Amino acid sequence: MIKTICPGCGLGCGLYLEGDEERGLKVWHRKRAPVNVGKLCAFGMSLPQYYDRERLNNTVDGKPVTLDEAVSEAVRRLKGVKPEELAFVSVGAATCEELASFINLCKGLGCKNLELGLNAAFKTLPESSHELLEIGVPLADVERASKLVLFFVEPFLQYPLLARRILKAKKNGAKVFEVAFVGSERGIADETVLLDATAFINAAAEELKKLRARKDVFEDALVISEANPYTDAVLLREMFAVCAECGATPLLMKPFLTTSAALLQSSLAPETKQGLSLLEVFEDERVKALFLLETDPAGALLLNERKIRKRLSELELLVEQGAFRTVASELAGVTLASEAFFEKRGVIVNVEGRVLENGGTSAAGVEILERMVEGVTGGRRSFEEVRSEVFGTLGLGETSPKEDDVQVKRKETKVLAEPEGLQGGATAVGTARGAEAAESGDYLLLYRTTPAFWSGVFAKSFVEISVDAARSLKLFRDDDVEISNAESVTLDFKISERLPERLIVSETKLAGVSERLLSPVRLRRKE
Amino acid sequence: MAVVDEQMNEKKEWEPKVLAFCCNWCSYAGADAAGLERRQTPPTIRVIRVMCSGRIDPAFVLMGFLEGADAVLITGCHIGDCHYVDANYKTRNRFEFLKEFVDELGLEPERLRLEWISASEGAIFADMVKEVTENVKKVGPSPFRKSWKK
Amino acid sequence: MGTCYLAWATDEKIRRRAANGGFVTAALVAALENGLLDAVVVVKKEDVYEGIPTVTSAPEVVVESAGSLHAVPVNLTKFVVEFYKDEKNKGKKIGLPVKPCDARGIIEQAKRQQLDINDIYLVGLNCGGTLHPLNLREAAAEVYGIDPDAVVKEEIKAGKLFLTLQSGEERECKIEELEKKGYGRRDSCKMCITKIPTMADLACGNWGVLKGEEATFVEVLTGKGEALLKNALENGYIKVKEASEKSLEVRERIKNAMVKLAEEWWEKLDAVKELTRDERLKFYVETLRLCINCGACRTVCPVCACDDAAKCVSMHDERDDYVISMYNVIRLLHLMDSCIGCGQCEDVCPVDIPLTFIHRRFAERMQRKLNYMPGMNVSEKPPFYEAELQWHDIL
Repeated sequence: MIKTICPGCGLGCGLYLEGDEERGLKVWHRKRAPVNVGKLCAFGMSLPQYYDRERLNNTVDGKPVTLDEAVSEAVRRLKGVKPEELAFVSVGAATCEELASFINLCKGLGCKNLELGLNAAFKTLPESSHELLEIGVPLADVERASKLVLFFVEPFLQYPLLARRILKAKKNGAKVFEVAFVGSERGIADETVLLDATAFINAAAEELKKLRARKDVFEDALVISEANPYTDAVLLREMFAVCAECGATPLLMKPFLTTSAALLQSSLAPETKQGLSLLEVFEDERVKALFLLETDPAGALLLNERKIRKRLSELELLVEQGAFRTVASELAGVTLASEAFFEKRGVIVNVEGRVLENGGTSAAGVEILERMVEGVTGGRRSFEEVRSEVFGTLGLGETSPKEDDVQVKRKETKVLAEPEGLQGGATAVGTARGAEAAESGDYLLLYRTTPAFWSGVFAKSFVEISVDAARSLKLFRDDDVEISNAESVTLDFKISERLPERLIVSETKLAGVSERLLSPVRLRRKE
Repeated sequence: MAVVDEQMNEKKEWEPKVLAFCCNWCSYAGADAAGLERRQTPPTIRVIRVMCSGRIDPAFVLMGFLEGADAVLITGCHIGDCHYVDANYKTRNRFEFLKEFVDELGLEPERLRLEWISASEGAIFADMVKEVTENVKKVGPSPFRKSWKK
Repeated sequence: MGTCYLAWATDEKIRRRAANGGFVTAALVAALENGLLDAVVVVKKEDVYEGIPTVTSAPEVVVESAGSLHAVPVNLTKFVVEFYKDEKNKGKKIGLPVKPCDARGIIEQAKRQQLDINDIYLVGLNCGGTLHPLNLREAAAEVYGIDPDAVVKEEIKAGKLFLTLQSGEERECKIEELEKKGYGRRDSCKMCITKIPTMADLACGNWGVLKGEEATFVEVLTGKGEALLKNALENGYIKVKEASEKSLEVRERIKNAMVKLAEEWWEKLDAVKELTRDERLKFYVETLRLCINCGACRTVCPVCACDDAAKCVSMHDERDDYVISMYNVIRLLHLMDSCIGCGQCEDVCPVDIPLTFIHRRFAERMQRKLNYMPGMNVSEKPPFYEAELQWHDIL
């Protein structure tokens, strides 16, 4: 049995995996794991299927080669690209050691575009808030909080292993608020502060005034929200501003296991924090070469596969290192095969700042990267050396981290008041606000991001619509609905009592229909 | 049937919805007989015909409740008369489980009933539906029914 | 009641390492070395809080894994089922030390044709209950006032939980005290009344071992149990003497006290009984509404044997907006006759639904009514599937 960590989100749940290629893997619960007490969500329970995907091979221009050839070809090609036209992206399941080597390689090539999933948020908020983005608070603090605000996050669906902490807090007498476009299905909040999605699209600032009017909600609260590549900059800034004003503590959940390792990025390559974000990498024409580490772009992006393919095929150079084949694999000039996450040796940092050891034994991923570093800079480190750099950066010292303690802690726990006038960052909204207001009669499609959503596997095959929508479309149970924008998708529906009339919620990406977390669409009955 | 009620008339008197599983050989014919004999049966009943009461998985009954049925009737051939020799013994066995289950869950016992009805017992069928309807009216609408459902 | 002995290992190393004279370890080692068994399933100790189920044919691994692991609340049933799923393990004879809930789970799986009970030698261990590892860590820090990582051994004796530190120092606390403070045994164990594994092949433990004696009290319950004992005895791995009247009496007294305590706990934990019908419904609806459809409870359940085509899964549609999901109602219904109350479901529930308690509420009344206890006897089929055909009704 391998003691491993679930790569489904930033929580880092512990489990055992057992088995082999022939019989398949099996999940066994690791009740001693301090993050999750052995408990797993649906995604964690499906890890055997998640790992049962086609493996990546070493190739150059699609032809199978040895690892040596792939490494030297990757180095040769990477050296031939101008650093400013190069981007390094990893938003998936890599270890801190791999990321440290990755950062090292990026720096060695003089590249300033390194994205570990937080660049958009980094650019949204002032430097003083960056630490709060990187490191959360111990999850035990959630249980002890006297007041919780769920700020545009639905724990039961997005971070299920956080939900039990919130339930415990409630049992301990905490008051729970939620701020959302739609109230939680499980009704765990004592009070829901609803924002209107249409009004938000049309005039965000005006709609957000509702929050400023409810300081009582935020005062001294622990505010739980999420930072993903699509997190709306206006909402995120608003959240931090309200937190600063009300003395609240923010806890940013992250959808990717590697995202908290952005604190390595802050220490080892701070200049890259202003580099291109995930979206920008795929939208900015200046990027001519891309190195993907353990990242499936079709999973992490909301763009449809055709667009991703088109963009990737326009690149002069695409290098992919990972365990599994992705949409990028057949377009990549060089692919480098590493081991699956559960086989990796190394540590990860979870959302609360706990450093967790993954129980695999392979260091192949780090070795590949270090050999490339050698090709670029001439120096090559052993796994142990990389590891000690990681431990040093995380402030751990030499010994292996103890999983029972949260080792990486914030220096500052509360948000400082912010300078006015910050711009930039991601936008969650599909049309430019104000200028192109949602047409009347349109519906709004809201993505609810879950581990299945980001990994691109096991996603649900239906959308949720309101009772009123079902009524006005005269839907029958066996009908489907067609959701359209630039393109259209036909799929099943579920009727949800709590949805406002014009809102549609989807836990699956609707390729071509919506490329932002919230966008206007049309809804029709399809027999 | 459209999944959503077009218009809920709040003022109209509430009529319970009773779901009845009838076996093809006895109780369905019994229900038919009730009609042929022009016996007054309340319009509350919705019949699902199955080949044998032994086919009625307890999960069907539970799904009926979850869909919002105010009562569920399980009917079949008398013990010893089963068209498939002994399948209604299974029905009886399962009913024992269902009875305990429904009671533990907190649904009133009036909402679940097992009755053996032969093809000639139209009168018994009609009386049973009447009785169940009256009983269910006393205990009120199913707590499982969603307000927006038809 | 089977014949009862006091037995102890002749090998001093085993005696030192294992608890209470080391009979269980010696019997399993003897069976391995003399070909009675092909393999033994043990829980390999990582530390006091963690153990990993392992199949081994190496006697030294069995010896290494000797000793109690109260804070590893694993149920071995599904592990054994997985073992036999592998084609190359079909027909292999295995032996394993089992708690009553392990034995009952394995027997239920045998009833469902997932394994052949004749292949499996169940060395039952008396069980007063298990602890959750993280709960024990917390108790070590909060109640015992020690560093949880410094604990190298735990032991339950005479109603007390002893923790041994690296320094050799031993700390103790009454389990009753621990439980008052919210620590101690898992809820399922608190309510469990199956303390002596009479459904296994052998029932072993220290209840009935008198002061000054270093031995295991062994009750031989089946032919397989007798074979294990005889093999160990004839090959010189153990020594035995017949249990005295006094021993039997002491064991019975301890068991009765434990059962009484369990019944009191059930009274205490069963808050639902005070509720009216409507309140009860509300309780079930509101509690089960938290379910996130992960399916973990089904996967770990030692009596569930359906594959992916299971009714609870196939009749569950996430598009339904039922107040309780089909998955949950079907599972509750199907376990009414089969739930053994082991608590595995609750252990793995990501949203902490008190599943043991809820399942027990439904199962207790049905099992009492049927006068049936699941997992006790392989020839008693689950009543839900077995309609008792009374042919005299027909003829």
